[in-house]
Amino acid sequence: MIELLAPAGDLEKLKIAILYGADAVYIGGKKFSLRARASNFTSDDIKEACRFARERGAKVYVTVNIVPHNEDMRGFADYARELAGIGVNGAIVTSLEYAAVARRVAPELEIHLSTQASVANSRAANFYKSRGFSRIVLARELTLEQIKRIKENTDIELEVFIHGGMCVAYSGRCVLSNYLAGRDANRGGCAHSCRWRYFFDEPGGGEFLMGSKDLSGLRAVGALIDSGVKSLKIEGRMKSVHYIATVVRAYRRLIDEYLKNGEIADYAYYESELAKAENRETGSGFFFGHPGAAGQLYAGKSESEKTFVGIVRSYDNETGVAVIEQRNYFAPGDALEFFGPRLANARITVGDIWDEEGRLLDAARHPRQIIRMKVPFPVRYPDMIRLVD
Amino acid sequence: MTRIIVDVNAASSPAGLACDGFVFADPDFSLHPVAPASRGDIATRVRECKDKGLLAIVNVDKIVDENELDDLDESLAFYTGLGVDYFLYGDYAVLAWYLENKPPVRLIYDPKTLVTNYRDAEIHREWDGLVAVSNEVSRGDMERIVAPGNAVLEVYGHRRIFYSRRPLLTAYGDYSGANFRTGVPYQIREETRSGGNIIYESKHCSLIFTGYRIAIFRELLAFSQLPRFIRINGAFIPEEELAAVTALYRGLLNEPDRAGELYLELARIYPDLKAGYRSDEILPGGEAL
Repeated sequence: MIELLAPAGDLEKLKIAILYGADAVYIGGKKFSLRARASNFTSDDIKEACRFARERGAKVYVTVNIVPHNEDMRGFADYARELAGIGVNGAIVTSLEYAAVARRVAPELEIHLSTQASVANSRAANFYKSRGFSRIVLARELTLEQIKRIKENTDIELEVFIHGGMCVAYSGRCVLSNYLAGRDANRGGCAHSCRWRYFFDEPGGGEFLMGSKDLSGLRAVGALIDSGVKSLKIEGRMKSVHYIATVVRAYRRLIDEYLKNGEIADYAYYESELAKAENRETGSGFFFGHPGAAGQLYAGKSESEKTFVGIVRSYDNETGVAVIEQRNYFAPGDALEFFGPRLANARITVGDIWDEEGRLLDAARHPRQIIRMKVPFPVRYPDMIRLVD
Repeated sequence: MTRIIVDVNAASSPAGLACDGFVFADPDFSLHPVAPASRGDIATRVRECKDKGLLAIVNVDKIVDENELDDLDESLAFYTGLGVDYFLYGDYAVLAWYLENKPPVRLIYDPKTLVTNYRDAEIHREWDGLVAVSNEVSRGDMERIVAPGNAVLEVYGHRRIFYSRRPLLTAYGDYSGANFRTGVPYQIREETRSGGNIIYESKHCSLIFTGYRIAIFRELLAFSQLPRFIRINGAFIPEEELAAVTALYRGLLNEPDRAGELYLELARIYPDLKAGYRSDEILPGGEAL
């Protein structure tokens, strides 16, 4: 069965990802993980994450995917033992040494090869299998045809990124950030220097941009499932709960539709859903051929996520009043859309709203403020609310 | 004994360089930005090396796509038949080929960015392989990685710091209407920074290099054990400068007492030398270039 693998930057996001349909989540611990700025998990968080996931039949993978320096050798064996003891299902690593250590001290841990290693062929995949890896996260620079051919020539599990940010370089083979910002890209410090603005260094030299559009692989999912890929991965441990919920839900539904019917009736529906998550411009990456200018982000800007206004905490069936945790400004008269793991998109116009003490409000202004409002249909945690035009 | 190897344009004569071996860029599987040379040209140069007792190393360091594996095998077999001494590679497809076929050749793993600790480096000793140490580590880390004796250190040249599968220049040209050519280096500069970088697009990829040359020179003398090979990367360096630089490194190895004087010569050839990433860690404390 195909696995939908979602990112989680903290425990709340992990729970949201699973509740919205992820089969597995990947998280970063406090040590040995890229995405240093993500709100990484403590050991207690990981323990709780594993408990929560296990009870719902989901898996937890922990990224230990830095390209380690000498000093990063210290403490890894203990950490691998700890992860296995907590009940983590797998570790995502780049270093052969980390893999060897993990196999020795924690043989129950699955070892997945990070995309940092940029595997683009079956022979390299089989080499990693011989070193004890059980899964390869493939390079993002592959067409569907190439992925299919790789799968035909290896029996190791393959994981493919289907959605989210894309490095414009081969992951792991770029240290621009090291040289331009003094931040080690391969140890969690990437400053995204590829998205900066450059000029040709000559008189009258023009502008040069090289950032990549984000990946949206909706239309590749069927072919990836058919090719025998094991896991479809969403990028974005830094993203919001709304992003996680929206993207996971869209791919969950799309995968389920494809598995049930063998085809997708209306891609436009899923595309419109994904467009509601904050995104840079998206493209299909390398799936349908090598991208030229169409795969690059020359003019688009990152959109802020002001449309996500709250998350439902509870609902009183007798009174029809929902308790909502505010995430962005909204006010009476605004049109809102509710959605959830089991809730189809449903719209209302905001009527009166009250704070926790029952005071009538003219607007929900404060982040995390608890708001009460009438909703004419049952809602529940973790249904979410967004502004609509 | 430390040997000096030099990346050169295979179409030019390797004669006259004071080195122990040459790195030749395969036209299909190397990322090294040189003027195109055919396998026939490389074969001629390899034979010259063999005649002169020099090491012949073939660079096949690109990331290999599934549909390229058969061509890769053919290339590796071709060069093995010529008697090359080493393949310099960046994709474990080459290592897997080696482990399966046990050819009379050795390997140097050079992904540029991934050899950053001594334990990963040591793993390559299992198959008697060498590793090219990443530049983005401190001098102390370099020394530790070099110590087991299977390391190659790139000590001079414009350092490659970015490798993309995308045709970034021509794609931007399609967008902006500008005319960019593959196989030509361009200088780019980030809008708020003074230093520039070299960007280069080939048929395989787009690469970015440091705009300046990195030199690890006198620092080598502080290493408790010298690398197996020191490598001078000839990318974007005129041949006559390459010859002069190589001679100075030869002088350093032969007459370490003259290091200061030789370094001044090195700095005269190209004044904008940098000591590398985290230069404050790479240079001995207080010692100015």
